[in-house]
Order: sequence, then structure tokens, then C-alpha cells
Amino acid sequence: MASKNEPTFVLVFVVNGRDVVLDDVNPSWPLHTARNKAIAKSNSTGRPPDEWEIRDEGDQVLDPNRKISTFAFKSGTKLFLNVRVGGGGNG
Amino acid sequence: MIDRRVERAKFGDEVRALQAYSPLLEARGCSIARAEFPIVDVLFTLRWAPVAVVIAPDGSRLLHQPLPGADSRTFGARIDFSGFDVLPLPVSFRDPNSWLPLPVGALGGFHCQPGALPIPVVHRHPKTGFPFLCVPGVREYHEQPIHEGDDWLLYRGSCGLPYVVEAIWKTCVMSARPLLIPAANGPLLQFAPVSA
Repeated sequence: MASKNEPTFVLVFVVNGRDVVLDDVNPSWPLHTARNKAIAKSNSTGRPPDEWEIRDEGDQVLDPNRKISTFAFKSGTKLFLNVRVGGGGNG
Repeated sequence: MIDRRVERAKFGDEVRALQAYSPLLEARGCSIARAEFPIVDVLFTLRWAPVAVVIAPDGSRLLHQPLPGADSRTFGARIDFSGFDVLPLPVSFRDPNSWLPLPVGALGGFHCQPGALPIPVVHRHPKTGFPFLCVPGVREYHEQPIHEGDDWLLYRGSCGLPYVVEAIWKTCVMSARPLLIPAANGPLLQFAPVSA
């Protein structure tokens, strides 16, 4: 938890099109920790967290196992979550 | 039977939700052509220009470079909110000018995963005869008896309009390459998977 005088790091996840603001992100977390918090906060618990794909505004898929500090995120960066598309097979 | 007011409210929510993804939509060449309850029409620009295929004397196929000057193709998808979200959203593929249903063969789609064989996911519908998208979270998938064990209620809440647009884009734009195959009666259009 950030102390009173330390700036907090904010990430905004777009989950099913709605902004979910995480305003106390620890940059040493792996990205999947923030992802899971955003999913839980949005009450979108129908699909397991590892079925959700994370993309940045450049439409690049992000590795959820990397630490947040290893990405070039600024506080307030917006990331997009969407359930990974499954294969249907033979109709 | 769902109260029409509930359907309208969900329609509004989901259209606004899709608009929140506008940076990704713009990067992908997707756009909302129309959003009038209960219909949302979305335009998709195919990523790949058609590739001409030459058949060698031994019968093998040789891929050429994309046809110079060939325009990329656009198709439409119509998503109908009637019954949502007691039922999943249905998708029909449309001509981008007339918005009439596209025939089978006009479009391809594949589910591509690294290290796995691509799975075709655009098939001829057994009742309508038109192509349909067979992926979880789409109505036509859950209506198929073979998918009876994969109930829509397992996906409800996570697979709204942004998910369906993502599903169409990933399978029919990002993962499907159009090929022109020479044939006796003129070139045939086929789609091949582009693996991840």
C-alpha cells in the first residue's frame, strides 16, 4: 500500500467496454494480478481470468506474466480486456 | 419473452461498451455503420489482399504475391439484439453495400492458436444455408446440438457486443487469407488460415 506522500500508480482496464480504475497498483506486480483485480471489480466472473486477453491502445497483446514495471506504462494508461475467442469446430 | 425496454437498455449499454474500444477498432479497420435498435451493423476491412495461386504442372500450388492494385475487401456483419442477453447475440454476414446476406464461399474464418492446427469456424448453416460464425458466445454456436454441453449461461456477462466484434475480427479478418484458385470456369475464391 502506498504511503500518504507517495504517488499512486493508476491503471485503467476496459472490461466489456466499461472503465475499471485500479488506483493503487504496485508496479512490481505481474500484470495478471492487476488483470484479475479489474475482472473481479467489474463483476465479470463468468469466465476464468486466464481466458481474458490484455491489449494496449496499439492493439498489441500483452504478456500477463510480465511485471508491470517492465512495460512502458504511465499512470493512467488504458488497457483493454476481452475474453479470448474460442474455437467452435464443426458448427 | 423479454421486456422490450430491457432489450433497449442492454442495446444502449453494449453499443456504448463497443465505442469504448474505438482505439482498437480504428487500428483494425472496423467501424459501426449503423446502430438502430435492435440492429448493429459493423464494417470490417479484410487485412489481406487476394493472392493469386498458380497450379504447377505436377498439380502442386504455387502462391504468388498479392495481386498488384487489388483492393482489400470489406464485409459487413449484422448483430441483432432481439432476445439479448437471455440469448447470445446472433451474427449474419452481409454485403457492405446492399446489406443482403453473403452466400457461402464469400467469407472464411479460422480459429488459430500457436502450435495447434487451425479450426475453420465459418460454416454453412443447416437451416438458412448462409454462412455462420461458430464460436462460443455467438448464438449460432450455442444453437447447434453438438454444443449442447457448452451452455450460453457459462458465457453470459462476458460475451457482449465488444466480444462478438472481436470474435469476427480475429477469425475472419486476422486469421483468414483469400486465395484466387484458377479453375476451368473462372477463378475460385477460397480462404486459407493464417496461423498465429
